[in-house]
Amino acid sequence: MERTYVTIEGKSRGYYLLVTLLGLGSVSLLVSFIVSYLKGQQVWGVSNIIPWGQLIIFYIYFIGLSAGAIIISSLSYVLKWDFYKPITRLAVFMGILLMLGAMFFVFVDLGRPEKFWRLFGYYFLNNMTSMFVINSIFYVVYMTLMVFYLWLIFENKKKWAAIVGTLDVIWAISVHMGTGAIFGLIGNREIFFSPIKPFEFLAAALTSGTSLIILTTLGVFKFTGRHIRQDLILSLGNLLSWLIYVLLVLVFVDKLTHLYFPGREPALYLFAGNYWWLFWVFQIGMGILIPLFLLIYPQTGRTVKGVSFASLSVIIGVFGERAALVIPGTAYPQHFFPGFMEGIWGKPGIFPVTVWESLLCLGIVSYIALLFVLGLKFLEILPAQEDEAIVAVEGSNPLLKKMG
Amino acid sequence: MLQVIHVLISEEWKMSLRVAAIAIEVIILTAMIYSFFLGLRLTLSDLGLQPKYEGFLKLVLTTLGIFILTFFIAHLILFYPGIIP
Repeated sequence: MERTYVTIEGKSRGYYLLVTLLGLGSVSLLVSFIVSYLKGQQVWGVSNIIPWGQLIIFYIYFIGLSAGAIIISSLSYVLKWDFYKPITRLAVFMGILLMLGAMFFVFVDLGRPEKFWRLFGYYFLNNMTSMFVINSIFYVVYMTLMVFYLWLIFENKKKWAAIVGTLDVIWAISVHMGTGAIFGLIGNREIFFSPIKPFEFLAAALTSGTSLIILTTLGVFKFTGRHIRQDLILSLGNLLSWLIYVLLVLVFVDKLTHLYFPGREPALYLFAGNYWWLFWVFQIGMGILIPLFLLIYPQTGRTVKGVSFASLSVIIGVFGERAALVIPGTAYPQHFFPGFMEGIWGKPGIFPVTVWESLLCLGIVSYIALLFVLGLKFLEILPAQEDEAIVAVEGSNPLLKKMG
Repeated sequence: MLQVIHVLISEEWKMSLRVAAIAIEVIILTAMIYSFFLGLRLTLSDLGLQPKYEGFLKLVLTTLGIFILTFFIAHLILFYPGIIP
């Protein structure tokens, strides 16, 4: 049966309230940007010791969410599992907006955003061994592909959507692995340096992307009075548990390798230094152990509520994972000539959370959420209510069948 | 001549003139951005963009315009030269 997709009316009091709140959040972006531009990056928490702060944490987090959302969207158009079709448009739309958000973060982080074009100034004549240049090419093509993919879906050109969708998924994998490689290939930052890092980034992207899709689907379908199949959410929960296993193995191997290496001090700093809680509480606790327990324990793993809590835990945990990479990774001093010439004063840095940097991040998140909420009103993203009620009794769950 | 002007015009006036010049500059830039985005919208419509996408496109361009203007305001405040050299 062919589904019809509709826009939401967007005239309820709750909708207006949400738009107003997100609009106010977006205004904080404008104000904090002006302050940051006039006063310089000194109003942020970044310093010579920790040059990457909240904006970079959000940037890699959003890239991951975007790549994860696009890969999940491929379940219906690329793998032809119609079971997941109700959430495909939502996933692609979110993929585009999240990538836009990621670009906003890195754009503002430049400090002088008007100079961004220099990254693209010479295109392939740039230093092609620089991961930043390679990634800038990845990002431009990725955005174009996603917009084209969504347009093909809107126009119901299924054959082309499958082809472009496949290309987009491959590209999304490259985009996020490329972002992981930015960190993984920095040899003099021991916490970053790892050939596994691109794969770890990809696994984290998939877990956080799937979790965000689960929570957004539940939220949007509930607030617009739509029926959502429970087995669709449970199936995504099942997929999420497998992705968390993969992430767990990659994190374990990565950290074990860093511990085995004689110069293991940076790894020990990550585990027991100033920011131990970012690693243990967020990355390991909320990003892996808690959701895994919630998903494999039958009484919670087979309920929508349990899957929702697991997803929420993953979303917070993976954000912590990004922070656990960026902050301790740069805070640990670099020993150029040990005992003789040490990074910056040879002591680990402290990253202060400042108002203007936090407001910038909050503003960008609000703006992206605002575009999403307004997008539901202007674009045909959600399935029609009556269609969902009919389709609810049809179809089977391919993932649950395959995974047992 | 310049020295005479500097003596005749107080610092407050110089500051006010600079603010007025920035405001005029922002108005001109607003008109330019509006024209540019309107042109973009019309071009996309000519190329066959369906009316159902227009609302969202308008929204994105409006918010983008606001961001660009905010940037211009910040940039002009920081780098606009004094009116009297």
